[in-house]
Amino acid sequence: MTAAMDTMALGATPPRAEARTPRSRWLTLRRIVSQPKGAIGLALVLGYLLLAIFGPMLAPLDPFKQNFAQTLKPPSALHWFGTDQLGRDVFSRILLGARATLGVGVGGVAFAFLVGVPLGVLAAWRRGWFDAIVMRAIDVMLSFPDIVFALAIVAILGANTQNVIIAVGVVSIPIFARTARAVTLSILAEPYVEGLSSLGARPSRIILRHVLPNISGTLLTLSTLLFASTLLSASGLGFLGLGTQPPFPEWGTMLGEARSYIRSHPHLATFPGLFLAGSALAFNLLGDALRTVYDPTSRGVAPRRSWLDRLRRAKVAPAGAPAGEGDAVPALSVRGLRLAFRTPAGLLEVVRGVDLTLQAGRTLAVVGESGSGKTSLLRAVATLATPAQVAVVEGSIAVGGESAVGLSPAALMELRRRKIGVVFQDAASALNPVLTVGAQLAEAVRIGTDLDAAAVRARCVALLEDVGISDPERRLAMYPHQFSGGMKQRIVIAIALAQDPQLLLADEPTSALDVTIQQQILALLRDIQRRRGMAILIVTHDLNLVARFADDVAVMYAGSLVEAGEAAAVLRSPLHPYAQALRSSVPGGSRRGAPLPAIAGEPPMVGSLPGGCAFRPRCERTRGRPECAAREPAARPVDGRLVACHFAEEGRA
Amino acid sequence: MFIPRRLAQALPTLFVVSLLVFFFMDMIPGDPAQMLAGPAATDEEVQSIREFLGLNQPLLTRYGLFLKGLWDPSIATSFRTHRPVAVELAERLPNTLIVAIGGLALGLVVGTVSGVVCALRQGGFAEAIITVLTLTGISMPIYWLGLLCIWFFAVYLGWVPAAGASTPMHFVLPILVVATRPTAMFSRLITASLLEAMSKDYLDTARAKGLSETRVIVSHALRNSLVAAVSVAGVQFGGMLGGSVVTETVFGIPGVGRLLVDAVSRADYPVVQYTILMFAIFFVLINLATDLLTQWLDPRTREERRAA
Repeated sequence: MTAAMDTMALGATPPRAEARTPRSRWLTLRRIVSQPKGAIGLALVLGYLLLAIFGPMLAPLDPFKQNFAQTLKPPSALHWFGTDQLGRDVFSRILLGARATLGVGVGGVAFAFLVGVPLGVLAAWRRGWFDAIVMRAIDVMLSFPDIVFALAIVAILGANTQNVIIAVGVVSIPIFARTARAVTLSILAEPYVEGLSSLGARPSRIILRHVLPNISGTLLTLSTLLFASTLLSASGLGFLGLGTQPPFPEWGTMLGEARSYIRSHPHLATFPGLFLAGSALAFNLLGDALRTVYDPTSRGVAPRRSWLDRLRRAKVAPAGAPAGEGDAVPALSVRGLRLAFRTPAGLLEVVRGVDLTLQAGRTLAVVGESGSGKTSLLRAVATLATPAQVAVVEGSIAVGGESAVGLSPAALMELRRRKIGVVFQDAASALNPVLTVGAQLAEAVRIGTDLDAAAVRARCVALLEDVGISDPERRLAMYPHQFSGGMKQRIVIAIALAQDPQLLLADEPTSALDVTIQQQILALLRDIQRRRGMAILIVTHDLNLVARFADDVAVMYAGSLVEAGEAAAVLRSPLHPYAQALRSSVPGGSRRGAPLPAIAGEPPMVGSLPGGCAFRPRCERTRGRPECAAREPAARPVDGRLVACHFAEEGRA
Repeated sequence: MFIPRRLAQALPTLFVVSLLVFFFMDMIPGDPAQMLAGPAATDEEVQSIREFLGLNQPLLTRYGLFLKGLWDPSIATSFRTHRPVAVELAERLPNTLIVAIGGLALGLVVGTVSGVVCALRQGGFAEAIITVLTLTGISMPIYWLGLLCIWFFAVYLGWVPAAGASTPMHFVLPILVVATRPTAMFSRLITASLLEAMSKDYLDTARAKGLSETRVIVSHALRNSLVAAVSVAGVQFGGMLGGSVVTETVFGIPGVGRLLVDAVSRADYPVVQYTILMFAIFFVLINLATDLLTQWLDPRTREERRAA
């Protein structure tokens, strides 16, 4: 019966203030109704409210008229829901009882709201002793099971409808106060509110204009959910004979009376229970829908995976391993790869035909702006792209000669384990915060082998030493948060190396680190590559990093490669206008003392690319030449590299 | 040390709780002795009742006696049965705990399984069914579900006894019914926290190691839900103890909840006071245990604890 506490446990996570709170009421309503649960919940709630208002007038028979000749009759044409132990018409009593039952819920929630919310907002605003007292009082109140607390209040005040409202209302006060306080605190901490108060805005104005509108959604959701639990608590008191007193009908009281006849006349309990459960369900549905509207974290409807899986399999090109070209099998070979995001509006292409070859022992850097598709490319190569979100529309990926597209889960696991290691951008989130570093490393070492505990440990120690972590024995027992950012990245690298992969994938491995640490991590990667002879594919936007670290470079723009070749050559004299612009926008690049040029125009939007060359709108070279608009330039060899520009030769210095 | 410090924090709460429960009798409008004695009572009768309740002693003495009653059963006796409240409670507590612990355990297991299924089969048929079932479970008045189950399983099918607590079979139905809500809550919690965890990079790290999807979910994603699950379990356990006032009435179980309801309707104030105090102490202890467990489970807060 601690429905209220449950609500709090799940529902009261204060949403961030910038939660896209719908501005217009109609928009909110539309968002509610657009969800099935919202539409059903709202319809049911309205139905119940109408019942509470008009129910007593609609009662076909006198709800109080006893008839001892007609007791405990099953439903019939005259008595739709049968009669009770005193021969009264159950249908009429349910209609009349709607007002008492729902009224107690409304009254209780309103009472709790009016007391709890101001307390919570004030506590958050004033802080200090007032906050301390409110919080302590909440602690004390929450030390009682809520129905027991309500029982005690009824015991003190006596059993009647009005006292039940007070009892169930008092029980919900701490929940409202706590939620209002938490949400207000988070909004007061928002930079724009802090700015307002430093500008001298009056506190009352800030509360009225900025805090209340922002917390109203959360409070509306909470009230709706609390309404359901308050209703059940109040009717629970009625069931115990401590609520609305006979002869007045209330659904809980009616259930309590029906209890004595459950063996012989089960129908008596059916209808009040059905109406009661229905009303709680209605408010829970509506509350759930409201939460979806107001809490952005609970939004996002995941697509149907099973259906998409089938689609994916159908569309995947025959993945013949394009191995055997040249003397050695390349560590990575990508051919004509097209990737698309699955969106409600259909497939959205983010990688539009990419070819890559990476030999063992070499480092290839893929550079490009945010949104150029480079990370999607890396995730697809790492086989980590979720089929439910990203589709391989066309093309093949082969790692060490083995196809990485369209594999069974087991084959995929095997491929990831043996051949691929991944280093993520943010080491802090790439490590599980609640497991020790040793446990996470050992997991990577142990999988697919039958090493005993001592051997696993020895290997873990060796790996940590490999990535330059001193005192590895002791570090294994530590948790990720006890390490610095650079150390965490070393640990992620150690995990990636655990199974001696042929291909190491790194997604901006140093952009979350400060400069000196960046150098160390890069030096470490290079050193490991030299010792193990593996291939590294690194995704970055940092051209300085490319210049120092990569053997080859591929410049990506709007999902395709615009220039690819040896890093030294491409960086010295890029031919594609985008690559040129990219290089000249790097500090310390071309001319000292000159202002840094920026690339004109907006980065491309996937899904709304111009016809012809995708770079056309920002290009200085096109000057409206018809070729650029007519067809998309294919990559062709120019000066020992591949360039996708109709006028690549014009880029020569 | 953390545990004594946390205990010391709980003590003021317990003190205020005890004050609140103690003043319970003074909060009753009018003269409780007069009310108990009824309108037809003589002055002597009211006086003797007042004597029995200790109402004519100074406040501090009364509070002292009230606290002393916690360990001296001879002071705290039921107004109706004249037996020590401690004995009344001790007789009934096991029944209450069996139902609460059984329901919680069942709910934890079933809820976790259905939560995982729901998170992994987003958009599927199973998700729709589980969502509907959990919402229904949360909206279901336990007393109505209990009545329906009694009628179906005990009266109609005759598989289990309908009421009482004399054999283990008597507890089957109450545990099943009581487990509804925790099952629904755990299921929703596990689904929500799994869906949140699904977007975390560390799951990709785990996948990149070559772990199976099952292992990724069980040892990485679920492991992180544990902290939240423990605090919900605490709330649910407390809720079940409180809910015993209703379930024990439905199933005719002689437990603490039933004792409280009877005491309230019979104005047996000493029993009401001590039973509520016991519930409150249980609650404070459960909160304490939950806090300690979550601290222990989450290494980040464990560190703060050591540092503090």
